[in-house]
Amino acid sequence: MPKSDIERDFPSLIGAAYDLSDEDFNYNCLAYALGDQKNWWEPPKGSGQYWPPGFSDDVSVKTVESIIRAHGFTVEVTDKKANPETDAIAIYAEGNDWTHFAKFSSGLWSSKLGEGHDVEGVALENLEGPIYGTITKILRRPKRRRVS
Amino acid sequence: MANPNTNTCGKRFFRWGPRSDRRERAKDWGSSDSGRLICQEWSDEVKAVYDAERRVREIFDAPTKTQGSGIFLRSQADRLRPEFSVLADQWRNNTRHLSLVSKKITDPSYLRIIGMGKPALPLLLEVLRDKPSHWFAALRAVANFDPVNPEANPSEARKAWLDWGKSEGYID
Repeated sequence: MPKSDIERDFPSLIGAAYDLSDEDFNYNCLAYALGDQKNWWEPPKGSGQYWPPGFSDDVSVKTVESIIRAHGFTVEVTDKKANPETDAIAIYAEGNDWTHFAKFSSGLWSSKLGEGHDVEGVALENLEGPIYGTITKILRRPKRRRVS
Repeated sequence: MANPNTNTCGKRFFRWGPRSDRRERAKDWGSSDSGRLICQEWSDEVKAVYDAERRVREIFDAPTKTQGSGIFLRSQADRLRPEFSVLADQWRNNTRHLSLVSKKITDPSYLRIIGMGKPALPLLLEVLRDKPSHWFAALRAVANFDPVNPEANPSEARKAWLDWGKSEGYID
């Protein structure tokens, strides 16, 4: 898919410097944010979808936040404009339901767009709009304690 | 004297004869030329009646036997192909960036494809083969069947559907 198709859905990416991976329908943005590039994370489990055991079969922000926290992203970031101090995951939502995720790693925000490309080097607000709604929460990993 | 157990006519009679008491008579019939002739005529008559009825039954059963078959569905699918292609492209363009399959499948184009029913099955399998995407809900809906292992990821689910489609004759 050319960049122009992506920018049709996300006009604020026009003129931005970002990189694209190949398209892959095996995983979605939640899987990507959690480091899994083999599964499509969405409830309910089955028919090609994965959902971790022990969590409610719903797409609420509350449920997905508990999944993200279980993966070690336990500190809520209050300043959404500044880059987090450690690896982080941003949750996009409409109302109480999540719509999308982006991850912060190695100093860059990146994201998986639906069944399509990973985009790297985007700003979080580039992806806000009618498709993904707005950023509702950012969770980061705690800082490692220095060993003296 | 001919052994009735090795006599062709006797065997045929045992095969076609509906009543056990006639077995005794068959032994007698098979032991003489006239008996064998009578037996042969009777056997041929029974077989002719049975075959005629079987042919009639096959003619009337044919539509129900072929309705679900690959050849029948593929011929129906060809008529839907132009509309299907337009709807599939629309669905891809409208939903390609959505993160949730549950949202993607509520697009009107996807629902219209499901509304095409079972004749859309070969077309869904073709598009899944040629442009992998989340067609699984539509396939489940029109096939009323799911060959996918609950642990499968999308690539494995795709393979399960294509293998099933080939085994049923819906795609090459």
